[in-house]
Amino acid sequence: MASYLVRRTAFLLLSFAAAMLLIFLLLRVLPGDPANALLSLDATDEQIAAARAQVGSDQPIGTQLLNWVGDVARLDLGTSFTSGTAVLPEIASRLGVTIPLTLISFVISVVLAAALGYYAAVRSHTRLGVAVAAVAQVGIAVPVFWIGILLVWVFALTLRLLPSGGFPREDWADPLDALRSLLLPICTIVIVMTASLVRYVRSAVLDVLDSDYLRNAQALGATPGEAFRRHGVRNASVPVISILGIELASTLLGAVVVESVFTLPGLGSMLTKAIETHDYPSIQGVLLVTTFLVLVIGFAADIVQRVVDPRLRSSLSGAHA
Amino acid sequence: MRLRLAPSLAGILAAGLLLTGCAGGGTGDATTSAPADTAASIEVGSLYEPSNLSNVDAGGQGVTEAFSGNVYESLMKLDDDGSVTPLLAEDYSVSDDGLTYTFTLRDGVKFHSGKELTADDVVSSFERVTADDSQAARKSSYAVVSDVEATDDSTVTFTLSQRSISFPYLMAYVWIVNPDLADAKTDADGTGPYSFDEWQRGSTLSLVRNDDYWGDPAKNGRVTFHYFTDASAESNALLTGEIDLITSIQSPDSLTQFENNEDFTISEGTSTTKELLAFNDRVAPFDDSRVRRAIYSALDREKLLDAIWDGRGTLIGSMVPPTDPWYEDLTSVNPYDPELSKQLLSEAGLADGFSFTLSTPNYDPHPEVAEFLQSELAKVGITVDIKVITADEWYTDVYQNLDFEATLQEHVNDRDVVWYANPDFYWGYDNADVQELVASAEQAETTDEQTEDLKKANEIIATEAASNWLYLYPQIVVASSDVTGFPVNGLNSQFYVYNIEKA
Repeated sequence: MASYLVRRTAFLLLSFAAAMLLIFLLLRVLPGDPANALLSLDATDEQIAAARAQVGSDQPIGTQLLNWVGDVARLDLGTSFTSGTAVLPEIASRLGVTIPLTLISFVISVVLAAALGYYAAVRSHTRLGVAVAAVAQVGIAVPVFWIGILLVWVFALTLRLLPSGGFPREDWADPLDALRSLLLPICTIVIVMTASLVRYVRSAVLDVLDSDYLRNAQALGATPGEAFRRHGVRNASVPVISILGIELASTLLGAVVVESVFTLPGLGSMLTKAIETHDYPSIQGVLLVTTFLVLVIGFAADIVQRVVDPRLRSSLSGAHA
Repeated sequence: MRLRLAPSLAGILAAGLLLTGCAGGGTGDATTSAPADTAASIEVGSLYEPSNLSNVDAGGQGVTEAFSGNVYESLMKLDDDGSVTPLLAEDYSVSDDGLTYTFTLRDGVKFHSGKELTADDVVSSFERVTADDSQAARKSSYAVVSDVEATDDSTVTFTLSQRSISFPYLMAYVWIVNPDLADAKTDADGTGPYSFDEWQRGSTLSLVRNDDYWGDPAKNGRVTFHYFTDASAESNALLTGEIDLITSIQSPDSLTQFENNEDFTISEGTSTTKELLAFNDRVAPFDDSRVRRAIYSALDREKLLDAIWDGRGTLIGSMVPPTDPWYEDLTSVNPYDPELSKQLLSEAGLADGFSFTLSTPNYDPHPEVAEFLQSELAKVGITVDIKVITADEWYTDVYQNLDFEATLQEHVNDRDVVWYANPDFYWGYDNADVQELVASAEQAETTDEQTEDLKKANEIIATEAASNWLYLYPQIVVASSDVTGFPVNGLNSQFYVYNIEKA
């Protein structure tokens, strides 16, 4: 296990380095000069040169890359070209919206999906069981912004129960107020995420229900429920956990749409604005932090999977140690 | 999402001279019957979040909207009708040769930090605009100033290298900023009726009433701008009462839910935003004014305006909107007349038509306008190839490299017809008479002379169809019906909030 961790960590760092290089190069391949962000329509050649020097786009790409890597190593994500403020604190403040939004949605979705997926599998021959599976199927097909708009229409515009968007000026000073603002966005993500997870849980549970060891357990006198709890849960959760990592990562990245629909000052809206204004330090910063989070999620999912599944654990510590 | 040139390039173009926000003029009358709450907090919805808080560092249209006249003030003020009156200047005088402007400052003006306003602050504010690294809009217009000096604590003298009748008007764009302010991009210290409170990036920017204000105090206690990236989210916020008004509606679709609803008022003011089909007048066949006129006459602009704005907005026949002092109605100079169009084409030797590439910015309304042009021009035998480009490509290819045949663009500033006197400008219109008239207008001794010259210049520009001016955008503010006193014209993207009252 220890050597697996070392190798997995090395892989994590390597992926991160590759991602950094890719982010950097992709931005440079795009047409347009970030200095444009600072220029007015009547800019003179001198002003253009001054702007290039200010944003560093007059330097060779290699130098720019080394500077950036050096800064990142010192945990300095630079200063926004346009706003003139440090990127890292702003990302931190945006994460104050994006992370709770993602995590709360994730936890609720996992609980709901586990219950619904289990029900849909165990009762796969009843009408309700089929209905759950069918609704989940529909839920996957519906675009997330459409669900958001629908929820706004019902709960904000029609029933006037919740705000249609925005986030309190005081951030989390009043947690209840902040949560109220996040309620509809969370519901939106939960609907989409649960729908997608239910399918995985259902098929994982169906696989397990169909297994010989479960039949054996029942033949030995366990009720179907007991047998599943004792022998099935762990087995069914292994394939689901690997999916959870991917789901969590894609929710984090997909929050940009939800943030736009609900006007939340999260990472997504920061990225959109930064791209609009060619603000390289902000774009790089946001991409870097999200990439890092996604890689860490993948890392964690792998570890958890191995902790849950003794076979993976032993094969890894045994065969490859 | 709609990316107007000014905001989307908020940064890229930083708004400059001709494309920064602007629209016709003024403050709506604040006539309320119900007693208004002077401590009320006004929640304003906008699509234009500033990039930073400085107007000389590419802060964009958003910072003008939130700060101009509200937090920062200038020596002169641009009024509702487009006229210019003294603001922080008590008065000013011009020497007989028109080369020396002397401004006397108002007494008892204090910055929000408590510091008293002096002539030195005015000088440094002006130098801030003209500094080497300044990206201020209209910066090049200030080149005419050869010297600026604080003659005493309350007098500032500007010496010009040549006459400039627009000089007082230009002073309306110079914010007076406390030079002690450490970073104007992230903080503010002005003399206006509000002081800057807080900016939650990506979300809100709030102002609080300045109780030490030298003039009439603001009629509300606090104003918060709420920024949206999505127009429907913005409309929803107004419908649910989270905001009180929307500064500028950008598509007629957003209006349907407020029409015939007594909870809301829709105000349509005059903007100065012109939708332009601009040609590269340097290259054939657009170097021939008959071809440009032929295209203009082939376009049923009324139909276009209906399609884009649902009947709102105004048809124009030149670059001059009704709020500019030299406006006259020239809509009939190049009438919609496909037969005339064909005749002009054959006179130009293009009876069999021709084809050209239309560089079309990829954001509303340009793609829709491009398709309209394509189908209209097909009727007179002209083939249009639509080339969709990003705002950034527009800036680089069209604006800087002049690598285009024709393009679509919205020009939002007031008083921008003078760009047709610059043959190096992107559309490359080159007419010596126009150049002479514009130059002499600027040298004029009276505004009447200036107006007369610019009218003449504009008539030539319109007759030659230097560009095709398709329509003038409406300036639409939608507000909750208990809210009054908001500006209806949003001149130059300004949005004076101090007269807004909530019953």
